[in-house]
Amino acid sequence: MMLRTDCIRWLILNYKSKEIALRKKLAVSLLVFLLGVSQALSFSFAGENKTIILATTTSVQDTGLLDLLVAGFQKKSGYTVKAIAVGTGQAMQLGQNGEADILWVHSPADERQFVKEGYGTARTTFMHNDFVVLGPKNDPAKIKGVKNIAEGFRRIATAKVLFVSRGDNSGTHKKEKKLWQAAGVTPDKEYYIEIGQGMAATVNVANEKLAYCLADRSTYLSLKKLLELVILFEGDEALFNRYSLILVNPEKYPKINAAGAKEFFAYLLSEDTKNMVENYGQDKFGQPLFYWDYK
Amino acid sequence: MLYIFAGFKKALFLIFHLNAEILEIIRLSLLVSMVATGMAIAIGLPLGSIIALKRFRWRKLVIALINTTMGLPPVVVGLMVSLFLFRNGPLGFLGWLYTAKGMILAQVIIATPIITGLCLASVQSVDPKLYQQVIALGANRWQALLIVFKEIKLSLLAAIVAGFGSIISEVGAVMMVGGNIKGQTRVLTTATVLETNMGNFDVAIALGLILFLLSFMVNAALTLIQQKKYD
Amino acid sequence: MIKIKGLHLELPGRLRLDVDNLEIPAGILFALIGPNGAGKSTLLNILSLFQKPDKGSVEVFGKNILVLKNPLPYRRRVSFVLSRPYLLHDTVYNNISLPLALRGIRDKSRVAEMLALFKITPLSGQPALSLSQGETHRVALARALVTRPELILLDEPFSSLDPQYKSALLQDLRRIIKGNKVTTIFVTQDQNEALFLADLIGVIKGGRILQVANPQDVFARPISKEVADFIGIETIIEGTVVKKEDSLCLVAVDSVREQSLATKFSDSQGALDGNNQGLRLEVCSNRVNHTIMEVVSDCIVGQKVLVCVRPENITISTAPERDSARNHFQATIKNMVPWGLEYKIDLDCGFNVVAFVTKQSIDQLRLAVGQQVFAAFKATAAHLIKR
Repeated sequence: MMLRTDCIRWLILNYKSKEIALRKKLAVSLLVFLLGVSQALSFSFAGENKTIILATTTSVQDTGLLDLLVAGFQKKSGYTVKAIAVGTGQAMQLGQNGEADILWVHSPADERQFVKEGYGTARTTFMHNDFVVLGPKNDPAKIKGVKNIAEGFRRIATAKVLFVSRGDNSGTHKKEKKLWQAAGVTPDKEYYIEIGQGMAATVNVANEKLAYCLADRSTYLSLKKLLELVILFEGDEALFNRYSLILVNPEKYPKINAAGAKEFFAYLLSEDTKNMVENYGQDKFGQPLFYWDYK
Repeated sequence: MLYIFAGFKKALFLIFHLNAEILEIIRLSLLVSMVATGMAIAIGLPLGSIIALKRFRWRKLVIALINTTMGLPPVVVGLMVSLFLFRNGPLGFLGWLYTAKGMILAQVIIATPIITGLCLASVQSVDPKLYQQVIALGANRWQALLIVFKEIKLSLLAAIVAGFGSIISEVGAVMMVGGNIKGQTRVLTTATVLETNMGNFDVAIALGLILFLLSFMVNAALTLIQQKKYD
Repeated sequence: MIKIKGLHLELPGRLRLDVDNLEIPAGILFALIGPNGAGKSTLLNILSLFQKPDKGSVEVFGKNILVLKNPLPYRRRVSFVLSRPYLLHDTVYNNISLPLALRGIRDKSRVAEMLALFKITPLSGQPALSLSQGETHRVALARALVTRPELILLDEPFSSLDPQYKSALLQDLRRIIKGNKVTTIFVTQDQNEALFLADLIGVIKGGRILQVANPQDVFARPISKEVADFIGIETIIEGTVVKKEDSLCLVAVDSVREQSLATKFSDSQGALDGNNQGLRLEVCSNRVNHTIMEVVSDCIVGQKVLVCVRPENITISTAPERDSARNHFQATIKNMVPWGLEYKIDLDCGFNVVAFVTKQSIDQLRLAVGQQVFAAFKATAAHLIKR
């Protein structure tokens, strides 16, 4: 503050001196700029709690469906939705800390635990997409046509072909680990790469290395035109990815916007949403990316 | 190979037909980074000069600390700022998480040490006799500082450019603190990440090019202001 | 105007400055001269508030400047020119007008006035850092004087200047400062600068002011051997006043010569009095001789003194000359070295004498090392310092 008053005093002192003019102009514009900014920043939090924080997973955001639904809800309700797309693990953690009002996640075991511990009140699955196993066309592990995913994974392990894992403890990664467990094999580091990144990055790495990977169908479809990898296995119930909505328990954290969350919850389960979900992707890929489960 | 070319072609098309969404992203990127740079300047220049000119007890330690924080990983800043801004965190009452304000806060924390450190170095590089000379000419302390700044404007400009560059191109912290929310906190870098994840490499390339062009224009403007009057 | 009392400053390992009492009247140009490390710049730094002394008071404009709460008003009445002036990355005009801008003075005619006074009007629009040395100093001085200061402090303003720039600038500066009667304190190692510019000279050495006097007095009548040494008196001979005739002192000095006896060549026609002759005869008989010098001074008989003669006051000839000089000595040339535009010649007269001789004279007189010559100086050209 000293600086500012001194600046101003100096400017006034030198108001008409010609060679100070440029410096003055610069200094004034800087001041105006800073003042303007502090003004702009103080539009602030009057009439709070028109904001809902949704913690969700990148896989939902990456398809673009999230933006569509959020935009629809905001328009209808007047609420502002802050949709934070992170890994499922982080999304659950945000809920557990009361940093989110509503969760849209896909890790059923964790979700049940979450509700059981009292962090969530309402939980319902409402839609699903599915995972596919991608691999090079020549299918060196010969998994095409196996009867279930467990068998497929065993063959990958036996053939010791390269497999790229997300390795980021996301819902997809957890799912993949469960699949390995079910197959009864522990993948060896020699051919199992954990890259710690998102789905698209994982698919791209696998594509570059001509390796196998587990991918959700929507990511596969949106990347398809760039990929040499093809779907080598799909359709097993174990590969279904079921999304749930959970309302974070407002009794644990008074700051939670329970009313808004409830309204959004209802909107996401509405008939309108159902239509949007079932049509989403039809125009671009010729098939929907998600399937409606609710009721 | 072909899709890189196709990507660039589409990117150029997008740049020449900017839609409202991309314009909003550009506006926010510039707003956030410029405001953050402005604040980092407002903090960094006086702070750097004070540390350069004053002698106090833990001075060397402070300088070492600033030099270290110049290389602070943005994601760490993002994490710390998020933890503080969580609504149940110490600064939760501000309601700044997932807002432009929060992003500005994180970027100020990233850019301030850079500008402070570089300002410190350039003020230290000034012959102490210059300061004495200016005082001898009858300048008060602030006038002297302004004149010294004017003398080292090239290095100070470099400091500002470095500060701005470090945050306009930064992705980790704004992703964490801002949340990459469409229409609210989505900036060029986080949008690029998102489009990449979605497999829309053409849009990602377009955003990257726009980011590059913006950085270039801002830097060019700063350089022109600098070189305009006198070498 | 400026009163310094009981000033003490100790910079461990570098300097111990003690100024018990120094008064500099208003409106004069005061030169502070002394060798490197004497404390002159430190004193100037104290006056310009860049250095705080340990003790004492410095009164300027009627106030003790060491206890000012806000030094800015004082600083703005004073101009301080550093020995290596810093010009800013800007035009000459803007450099000179800067102090006005800092003070909120809008009178731009002063800049033009300064440009004209220092004869740099054509440089006005040029980048200041492209100037030559001499021009840089002119700009720096113009910048210092544009505010019409009441006190000007100049810290060796010409030390880095080539002689050709220096003399022209000295003349201009003298004209400007004397014309405005501004109190000026001017620090230098160069006695010629001081002699040319100053109304009053202070000689400082080892942190102490040794003598304060007008230039003629300092150079002709140094108060001590230290001052004499510094102001370039090379011939300093120990002696004792043995007789006094009105204001003329006869000083006996020891002389030791290998080959010939020291002889005083006064007028052989007997123009001088007999006492002098008798004394000469007496001293001639000893190996260590006494030579008598005649010096105009107010010392009394029996006073132990140093006889000081400036090198330029000693003339050399190859034959004993009849001239008005009262002191003539036979001498051997021991050494000749170039000294500025002249030669410095060390002579052995039984005591050491140093003279300056032009190259032309050396050629004319065919002087060479080892040659026997005659050295002479007038009774009024020497000065006695009490021991």
